[in-house]
Amino acid sequence: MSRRVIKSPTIMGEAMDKGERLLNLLSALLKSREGLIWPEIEQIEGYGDARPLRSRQKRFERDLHDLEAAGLTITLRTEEGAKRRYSLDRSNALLPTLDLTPEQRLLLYRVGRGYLESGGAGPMQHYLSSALLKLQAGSGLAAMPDELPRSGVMRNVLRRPAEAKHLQAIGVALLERRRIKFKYTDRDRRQSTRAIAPYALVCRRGGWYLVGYDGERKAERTFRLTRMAGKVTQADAKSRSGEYEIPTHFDPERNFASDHFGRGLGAFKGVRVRFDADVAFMVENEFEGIHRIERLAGGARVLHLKEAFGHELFRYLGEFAGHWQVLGPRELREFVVGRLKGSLKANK
Amino acid sequence: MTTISDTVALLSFLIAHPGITVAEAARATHRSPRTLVEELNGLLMCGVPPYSPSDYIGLTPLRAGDDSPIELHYASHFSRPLNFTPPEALAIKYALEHFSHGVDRETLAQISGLSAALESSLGGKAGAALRSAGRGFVLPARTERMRAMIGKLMQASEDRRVVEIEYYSSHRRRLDKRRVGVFEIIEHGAHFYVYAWCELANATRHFRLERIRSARVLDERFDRTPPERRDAGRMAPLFGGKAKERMLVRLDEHAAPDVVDDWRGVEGVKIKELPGGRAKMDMPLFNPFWALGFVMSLGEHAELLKPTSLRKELQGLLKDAIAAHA
Repeated sequence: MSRRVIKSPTIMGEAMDKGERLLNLLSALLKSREGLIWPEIEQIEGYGDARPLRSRQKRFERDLHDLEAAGLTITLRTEEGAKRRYSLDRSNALLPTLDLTPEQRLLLYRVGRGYLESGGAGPMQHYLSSALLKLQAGSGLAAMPDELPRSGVMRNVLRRPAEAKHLQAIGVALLERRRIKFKYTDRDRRQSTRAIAPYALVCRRGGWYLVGYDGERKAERTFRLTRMAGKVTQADAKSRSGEYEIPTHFDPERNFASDHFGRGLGAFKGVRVRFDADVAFMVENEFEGIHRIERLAGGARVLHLKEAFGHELFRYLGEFAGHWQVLGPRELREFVVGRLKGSLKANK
Repeated sequence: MTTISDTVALLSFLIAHPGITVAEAARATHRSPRTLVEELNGLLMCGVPPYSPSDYIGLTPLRAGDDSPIELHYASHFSRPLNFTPPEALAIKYALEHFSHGVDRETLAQISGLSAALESSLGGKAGAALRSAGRGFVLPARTERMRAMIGKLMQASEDRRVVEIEYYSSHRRRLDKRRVGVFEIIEHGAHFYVYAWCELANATRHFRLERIRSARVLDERFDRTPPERRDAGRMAPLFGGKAKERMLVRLDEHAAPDVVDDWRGVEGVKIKELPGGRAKMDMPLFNPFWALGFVMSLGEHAELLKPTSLRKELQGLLKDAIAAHA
């Protein structure tokens, strides 16, 4: 076992690793029940170097700010003789004891493996990593199973490479509750710059959409990530996290559903599609218990959808080329036959 | 980026797991042994006044390859990690919500229990954020049978059992029985793939989960270890490799904007924007069946230029589909 070599307390604090200095400060604050005054703070490595007093005090104030960003509350009390005493609010500083079962700890491990080791956590990577570490650290002595699972489900929040950068920026803003701004091209190719408070990200048929509050229009709006141009940035670069709150009863699918084929204005109603017996099980795999599936003699199935947008349904049907038939409604059947004939003409 | 919060959590983790080795700690905290050792060695200079030897954090000398227990001295202040911040609370909530889309019923119940335990235990701003937050990353519903299939295949992998699957191959266009050993299940885009050793192919394969009709876990043991680098085989272009063949599609001004939006930035896809809002897309052809569906779904707005053999196949399929609607 080795012990470190003691450093000189006159080491230049600025040159010292910031993480090391913060840990020293936090150690001292945690150790001191009554708080610390400046002469005591100067004794902590990182604050007692030869730089001017004001410079070192500014460094200390910046470090306090970083500790607060880590969720800690530092209180300042002015005593007789204008002495300023800094103390840590212990009531919420440390993670409360969590009596998690070994199964729940194993579940946390699986979540960590599924997202962090696959690199699929996207915008959640940083905060999820620290949250999982805290939970594993704070949920009981040596409660991890002796043997960790060798396999797992590797998850990925990213759907389309084209939207990766935007998903990253919006996802972090959603976690930090910061408003964002971006350039957007709508369905009619009109361009505008929008400032939005992100409320949720909704995925439909392979892509992400942002649902958020548009302060200028005073309403919730939906934006397809692949239609955002340039960088998504913070609306106010100086803002701190927690800029807004999401209304308690907000439903991300109120205006924009994650339904496989969508719903709302312009969607076909009462859709019925017949699938051949050899591909019917795939339709059941995807939709049994979500949409009604009628079993026909010979193994074929009819998928019943309350609503569907024609182009979203057609994209799905494309995967079963030659194995399906739209039974109704008539308008959808005409739409589909028109598409098929058009495709044949274009590919003659 | 390692923060003060992560550092304290790492110390707390080691205090809670006395005798843990570098390799075990790295695995349990989802780090490489090298990263863990770097983080821990950075703590050696930390301490509190009056800086006697016992006031510093002490660790046994660590190397990434060490298999001996980590010994930690002086860290009693850090026996508990710092409390959650609101973004951390939201990250765990949203991750559990997202994770729940790919788990069986039993795991779903565990997630509910864990979420409830967190909501009732966490206080302060983080606790409030957790309790008031709605859904953050909303996914379409997934069927019970697909969740159960994931659970079954993962259990078979844990138990190292061979699984017999009935699989619809889009290349062969028929159902086949295959004996496989499951390594992992991988989410990619909108689908889950089972990464496994396939006895029929005598190689690793990726099976799309929705195309598995049934899975029967056999008593036979499967002991093969996964290759160090995942071989994506025929699916390589999908997972970022190189395709043997490419396809060329011309899009008119109606289809081009949305399709180009979706495919811009995808590795291996070349997009040439043409006058009048049209575009040409040159992309890897990793699955002819998928390619036919892709072009067909765009209707009159897409023309498949290459390969010509696939274009002929498309014509046949379109004629059949039109006939089916006659």
